[in-house]
Amino acid sequence: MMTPLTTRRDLLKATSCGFGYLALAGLANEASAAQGYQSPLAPRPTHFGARAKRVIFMFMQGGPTHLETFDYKPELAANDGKTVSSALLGRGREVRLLGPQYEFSPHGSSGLMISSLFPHLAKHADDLCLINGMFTDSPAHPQASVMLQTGSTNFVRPSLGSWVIYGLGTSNQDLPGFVTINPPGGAGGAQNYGSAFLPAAYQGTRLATGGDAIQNIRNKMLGKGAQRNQLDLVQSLNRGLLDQVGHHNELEGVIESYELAFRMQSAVPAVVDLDREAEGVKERYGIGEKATDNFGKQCLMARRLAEKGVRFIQISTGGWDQHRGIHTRLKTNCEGIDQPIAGLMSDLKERGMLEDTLLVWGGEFGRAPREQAPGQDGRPHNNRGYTMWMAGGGIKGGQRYGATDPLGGVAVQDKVHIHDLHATILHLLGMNHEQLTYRYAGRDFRLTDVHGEVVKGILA
Amino acid sequence: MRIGGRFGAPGVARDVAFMQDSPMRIALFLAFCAATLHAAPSTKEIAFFEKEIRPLLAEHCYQCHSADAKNLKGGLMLDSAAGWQRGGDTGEVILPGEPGESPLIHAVRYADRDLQMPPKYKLDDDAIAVLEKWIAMGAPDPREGDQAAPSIAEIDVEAGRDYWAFQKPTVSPGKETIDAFINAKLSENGLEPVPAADRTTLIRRASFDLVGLPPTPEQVDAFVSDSRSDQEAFAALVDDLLASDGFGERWGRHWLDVVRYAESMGRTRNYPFPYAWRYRDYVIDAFNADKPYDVFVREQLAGDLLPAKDDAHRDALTVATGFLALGSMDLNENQREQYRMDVVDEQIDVTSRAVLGLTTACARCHDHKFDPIPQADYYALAGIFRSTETLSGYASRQGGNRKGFRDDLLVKLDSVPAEVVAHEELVYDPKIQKRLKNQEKQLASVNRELRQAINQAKARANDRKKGKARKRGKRASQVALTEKQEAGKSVDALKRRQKALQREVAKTKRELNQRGNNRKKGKKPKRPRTANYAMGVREHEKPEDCQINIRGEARNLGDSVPRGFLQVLSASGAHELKASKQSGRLELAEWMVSKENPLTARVYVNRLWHHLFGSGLVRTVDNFGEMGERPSHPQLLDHLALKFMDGGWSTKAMIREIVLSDTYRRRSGRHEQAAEVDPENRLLAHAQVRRLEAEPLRDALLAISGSLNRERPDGSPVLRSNLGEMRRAAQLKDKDWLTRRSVYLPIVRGFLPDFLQVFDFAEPSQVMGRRDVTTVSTQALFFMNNPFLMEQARAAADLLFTHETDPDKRLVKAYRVALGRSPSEKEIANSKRFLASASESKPRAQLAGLLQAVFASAEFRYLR
Repeated sequence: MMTPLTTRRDLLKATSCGFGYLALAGLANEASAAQGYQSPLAPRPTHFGARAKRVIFMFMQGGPTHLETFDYKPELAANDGKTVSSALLGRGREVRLLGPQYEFSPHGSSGLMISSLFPHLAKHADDLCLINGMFTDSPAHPQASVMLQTGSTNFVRPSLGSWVIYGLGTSNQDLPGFVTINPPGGAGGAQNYGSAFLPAAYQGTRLATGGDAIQNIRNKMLGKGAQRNQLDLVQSLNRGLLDQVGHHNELEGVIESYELAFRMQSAVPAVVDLDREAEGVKERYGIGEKATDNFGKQCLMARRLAEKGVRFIQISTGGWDQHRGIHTRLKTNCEGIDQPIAGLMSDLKERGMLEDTLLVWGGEFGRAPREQAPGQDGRPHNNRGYTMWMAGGGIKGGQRYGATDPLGGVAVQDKVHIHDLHATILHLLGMNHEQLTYRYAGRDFRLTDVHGEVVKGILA
Repeated sequence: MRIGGRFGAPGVARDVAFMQDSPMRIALFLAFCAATLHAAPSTKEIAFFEKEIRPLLAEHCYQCHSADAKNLKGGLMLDSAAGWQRGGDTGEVILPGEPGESPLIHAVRYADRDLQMPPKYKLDDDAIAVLEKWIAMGAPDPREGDQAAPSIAEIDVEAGRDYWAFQKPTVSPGKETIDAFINAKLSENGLEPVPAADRTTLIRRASFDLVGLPPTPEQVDAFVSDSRSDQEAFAALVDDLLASDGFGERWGRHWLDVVRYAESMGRTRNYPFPYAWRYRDYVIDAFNADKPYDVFVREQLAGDLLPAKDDAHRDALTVATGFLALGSMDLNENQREQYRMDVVDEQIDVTSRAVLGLTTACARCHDHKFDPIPQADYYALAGIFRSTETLSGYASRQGGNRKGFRDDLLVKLDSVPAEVVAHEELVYDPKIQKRLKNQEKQLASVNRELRQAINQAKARANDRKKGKARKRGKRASQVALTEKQEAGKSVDALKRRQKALQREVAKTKRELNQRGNNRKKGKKPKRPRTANYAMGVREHEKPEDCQINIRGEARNLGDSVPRGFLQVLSASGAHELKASKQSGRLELAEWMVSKENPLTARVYVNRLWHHLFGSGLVRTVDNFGEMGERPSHPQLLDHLALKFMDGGWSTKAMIREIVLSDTYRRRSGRHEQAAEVDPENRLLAHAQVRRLEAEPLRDALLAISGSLNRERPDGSPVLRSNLGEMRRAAQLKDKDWLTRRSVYLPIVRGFLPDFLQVFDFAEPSQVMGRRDVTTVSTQALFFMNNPFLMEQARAAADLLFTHETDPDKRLVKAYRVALGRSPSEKEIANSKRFLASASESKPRAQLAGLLQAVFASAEFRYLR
C-alpha cells in the first residue's frame, strides 16, 4: 500500500499529531537518512539493547505432545488408565487418562526433567527454558498455526518474521532478511510467512533444501562475465535515465538492486551449499542418516544463514499430530530432530553465536492427558496447556517456567499466551511490542494487537 | 441505565428519563446510586475489607482493573467501590450478598472456560473463600471516590459533520478546468509549470495508463506525424484508447484491487472459488461499457434486488453481487455466529472502504476512535448484511463444511447457453457413478411403467367405447368414469415420479462433473466446467436488526440497533432504514450513490486521479477519515466530484477530462524550483516518473515478443482445479493461459503467479487501492535470470530478425519496440559494444541479450 518512504513520513506525521506511539525509534531515526534511497531492508536501530540478534524458529506442525517430551507429570503417570469424568478433559464424558509413555529423567546441573526421546538434546538441558504453561486460542491446526505465526486467527495479519525485519531490517543485504525453509503447504500456508499489509519486501522468502534454493538465482544461459557485460549495459541505461530525470529515489534503488542481485547470485548458492561444510560437521547434525537427514539439513542451513546475518529463520517439520502412533511415529519424529537440534546448539555455542541467537521450539498446541479412544495409541488436541521451549540469546536456561495442572491438561501457573511469547521475542530482539506499529487502514497495528506481556521470568 | 433499572425507585427512573442520555449526567446519577443505595460499612466490615480484601484485589486484580492499569481490561475497575458497582463491559460483576450469582466468583473459580480470572493463574482456595465471604457480607467497601471512571468520550456525530469529507462538495466559482485549479495553486506557491511532454513520451504514457500496453512503433509514428494540433491529435488518440477493449482490462483490474478479488478462500482452508472469474469478467465489461459508477455500485451491492430486462441481464446483476462473496474467510471458525459476524464484518469493511473510503469496520468492537462512527452505526449496517445470505460455495465448519465445495451455496444462472451446460463432462467417480446408475435404472423402470400405464389406459378407453354400445344407463357410465380417473391418477403419479427422477439424475450428473478430474483414470476435463453457477448473495428469509456485539464478541450481546446507515453521512435523523421487508441492501446502495452522499464521488474520482498521477489528491485513497491525509487540492476534488455526478457518473468521461488537461500532459523530470518548494510534487508542476504495475509490465513483454493473445480466455484455470484445498498456484499447464493478458491469470490467495508476486501485486485478501512500490533485488534477479523473461527476449529478437535485415536498423528498432523511442548516440555505441562482447556467436542470441538488457532497464519499468 505504501512505499517505505511514505510509511516513514506517515509515521512521523502521526507522531507529530500526537497519535501513535512516540518511540518509533527505529523508524524515526531513519528519517534523517530518507534523503537518499533507502532499502526497505536496511538495518534499523533497536528500541533498546537487544539480547538476541536473530531468531531460529523451529516449527513442529501438528501439535507435539508435551506429556511425552518436556512436561514431566508424575501424577499423570500415577493415574494412568484411570477413568475420569471431567468437564475439562472429556466435556463431561468418561475418559481414560493416559500416562506419559516415555520415561523422564533429570539432566544437567539444573536437573531439568526431559524424556528419553531426546538423549542428545538433553545434554543441553542447562540451556533450555521449558515454557510449560503455554496456552492458545484454538484447538484446530490451521487456526492455531496462523495464531502462532501471526498472532491472529480472525484476520490476515503480518507474520512474526515480517514484523521482525520491518522493525530491524537485516544486516546482510546480499541475502533475504526473513527466510522460511520447507514451510508446510497447509495449515494456513503462505499466511504463516506472509507480510499481509506490511510492504511485500517484508514477507518471508521460501527456501528449499538443496537445488535452487531461491527462484531466479541462476542464469542458465550466460556465464558470469557475459552477464556482467549485460548488466553494465543495463546500468548505463539506468544512469542515462537518472541523468535526465534528476535525483529519484526509486531509480537509484533500481540501480542498487541490480548490484545486490548480482552479489546474491554468488552469496545465496554459497550459503545454501551444504557441501562446503566438513563431513564432521554434517555428521554432527545427523546429515546422511536416514532419520535425521531432512531436519539436519534444515538446521545446518539455518546456522549458515544465521552466520551470514539473516535475521529470522524458520525451519519446520510436520507429522506431530499424534492421534495415534505415540509408540511409533512420535519416536521417529523425535529422533528426526533430536540430534540435529543438539548439533545446531553445540555448533552455535562453539562459534559463540548461541548467546545472541534465539532458538524457539514448538508446535501450534499440545495434547490432552487422555487417551484418544479406547486402545488407540494417541492423544487428542489440547490448546489449553502445552509446552514450547526457548534457548540462547537472553534466555535463562535450565528451568521450567510455568506449569500445567498436575495431570498436564490445563496451564494454571505463569501462563504464557502466544501474544506474550511474541512480546518476549520482540523484547529479546530489542523491540518494545507496543511501539512496533504500522499504520494501515487508518490505525496503528501491532503484532500483539492490544495484548501481550513480556515474560520476565524466562529472561537471563 | 442498567443500575437504574435494578435499584431505581420510581422517582429515580423519572429523573433518568428527564436527563436523557447525557453521559455526564448518567455518571453523576450512578455515583448517586452508589452513594445512597449502599449503606456505609461498619468499622468491623472496614477492618475486614482492609485486612483481607484490599490487599487481595491489589495484588491480583489491579494490574488490569484499576486507574493505574496500563491497559484497562473489560472496562472494569476494582480499585474503588464505584468502579465495581458500575461493573464492566459485560455488566455487573459483584452482586452484594449473592456470591454464588456474582460473575467475579465464577471467574476466580475458573468455572467458565471463557472467563477465568486472574487469567494466568488460579487463586488459592482460601483467597476465593475470603472473596465469597466478603460478597456474602454485602461487599462492604469503604473506598471512596471513583478512580477516574475512564472518560470515554462519546462520539458527537453532529460535531463530526464539520469534517471536510463529510460536507457536501461545493462549487468554486470562476474555475472551470482542472488546469485552472492546479495552476492557481502553483502560482500561489510561486511555481511555474513545465511544458507538455513530447509526443513520443505522451503516447507511451497514455497507452500504458489507459489500456496497459505499450504503443507499437507504427502507432508512435502515426501519432508523432499527425498533422493536427497537439490538442486535437492527443484527443483523438485518447478516444481510440478509451474505446479499446484493453481499457476495461486495465481499469477493471484497478477495481479488482479495491475489492480484494481472488479465486480462492485463503486462510485456514484455502478452497478454490471456481466461479469467481464471472465477477472479474463482469467488472471488465462494466468498464468497457462505461457503466455509470452509481449503477455499478448499486449492482454490486444489490444486483439481486434490481429489476432485470431478461435472463442475461438478471444473471449479470447476480454476478455483480459476487463483490460481497469474495472475502477471505476462516472456514475453520467453529462458532457459527462468530463466522456469520466475521462475514458481515468483511462485507462492511470492503463496502465502506471501497465506496466511502471509510474504515467503518473499526467500530465493530467500540466506537470508532477517530471518526464519528458510533458502534451502533456499525451494527445498523451489520443488520443489513446479516439479513443477507452470502453464497461463496462454502459454509463454515459448523455450517456443515466438512465436505468443502457445495454448489447449493452458489447462485444458479439462467442464461448460460444449454450447449455450454451440456458440455459439462461426466467424469468417472465410483460412488456417484454408482448412484447415477441406480437412478438411471429407476428412471428406466419408471419410464417403462409409465408407457405400460398409458397403453393400459388407452386400451381401457377402447374397451369402454366398445362396451358402451352394450351397457346402458347411468351406473355404467359412472363405472367408466372411475376407471378413467384411476388410470389417469396412476399415470399422473408416474409422471411426477419420472420428473423427480429426471431431476435427481441431472443433479447427480452435475455433481459428478463438479468432482473434477478423475485421478484414477488420469482423465482431465477437456473443457472448463462451465456449469451455470456464480458467486453472489441473496436475501435472508428473515431480515432482522442486529444486536450490538459488546467488544465485538458474537456471544456478548447488547441492544438491538435498527438497520440503517452511517449517521454522519445522513441528514439528521434520516439514517434509519424505512420499514422494509428486505434486508435493506438496496436502500444502502441507493444511499451510497445518492448525490447527497459527500464521499462516494470524491473517493472514486480520487481513485482515478491516483492511477493517472501516481498518487491521489488524497493520497490515502482508501481512507478519507480523520487518519487519512487531507486533499492537496480540496476545491479541485470537489469540482471533479460534482462534474462526475452531473455528467452521469461516467468513468470514461472523467478520465478523458483528466488526461486531456495540461496537468496530465506535462513533462516529467527536473524542476529545480519545485524540488525546493514542493519536493513531493503534490502541486504537479511537472509529471511524476511512475513505475508500471506488474500486469502492464508483463503484458508489455508479451506484446513486444509477439506472443500476446488479446482474446479473453474462457473462465479460469481455477475452474479446472479439483476443488480440494489449494496448496500451490493454479496450474497453468495449458500454455495458452500464459499468453493472455495478466488480468486473466489465476489469483489464488497465498499462491500468486510469480511475476505478480515479485512486482508488488495487490495482496488479494485486503482492500488495496494503492499498491506498494518496492524496489528489491528479487525483481532484479527476475529480469536477469527468469526463463519467461528470457523467452520473451528471444521471441522479440526473432521478430526483429524477421522484419528487419539491416543490423543497425534492427538495433534502433529494438529500442523502439521496447521503449517507444529511438536510442541516443551513446546508447547505440554502448549497445554495439555489448553486442561485440557477447559470448554468443549467433546474432539472434546476441540481440536477445540486448533486448533483455533493455527490458531490465529502469526505463522499461517506468513511465516518464
